[in-house]
Amino acid sequence: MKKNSLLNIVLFLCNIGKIACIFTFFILCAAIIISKTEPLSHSVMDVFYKSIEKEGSFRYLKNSKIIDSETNITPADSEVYTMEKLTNTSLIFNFLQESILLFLVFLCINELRKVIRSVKTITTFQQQNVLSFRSIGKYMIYYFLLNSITYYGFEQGNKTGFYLEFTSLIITLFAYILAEIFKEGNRLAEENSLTV
Amino acid sequence: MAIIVNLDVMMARRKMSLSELSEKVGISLANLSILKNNKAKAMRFTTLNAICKVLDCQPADILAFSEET
Repeated sequence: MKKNSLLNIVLFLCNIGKIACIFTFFILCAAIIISKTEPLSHSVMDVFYKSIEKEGSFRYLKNSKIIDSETNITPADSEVYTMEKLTNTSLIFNFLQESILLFLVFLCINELRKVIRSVKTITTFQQQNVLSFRSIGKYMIYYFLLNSITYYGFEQGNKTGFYLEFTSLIITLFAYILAEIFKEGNRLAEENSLTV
Repeated sequence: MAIIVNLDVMMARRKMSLSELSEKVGISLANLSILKNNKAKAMRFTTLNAICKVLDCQPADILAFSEET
């Protein structure tokens, strides 16, 4: 495969990724509006409830419930952790969290696109690419930190905890290593251009 | 940089302009200007050879070492 064909494919994929981010954001907005205007059916709630439980096994979720003071009975999980009892604060928090994560992914794709474009125009080793890789690293650190917070607030309790996704940290490491490689490449390219 | 290029001194002694030297040596005016202004990071032996030949001088007449960086 020719170098330019491969780069064109990557550029195309980057464009698709950016569109997918925007599209997902609109879907997210629509989901929030629908969840507030129309009560969700039991089947959807069950799926959501199961997804929380599934995530709980690796997310380090801590459950807390408000015990009825009169009867002193702890309500069952299926009664407390339901979609319709999700608080507005939790909903807004999760919406903002997902939106910012999407925005960070969007920025990363944008930076990657800039690098690919510079490779295509044979200006690979330039300072801008070093900055781009550093930015990707920085965004992925933010992604890791923001993604680690898990909060689901319900009327009678909540699920909070941490979720450590190491993929974003590995990407951060690679981005910073690539930034250093490109920095060295930039230095060599500069030296080469100043050799008479 | 510790190495100083005294190309302008030699050119003045030989009463030669930068464009004339560029033509005779076969180096672009831009590259010769980089060399003259001490902006160059490295110099090829072929370039040094050509300049010395045209200016009828020794490499030491063009290059000098200074302690100051």
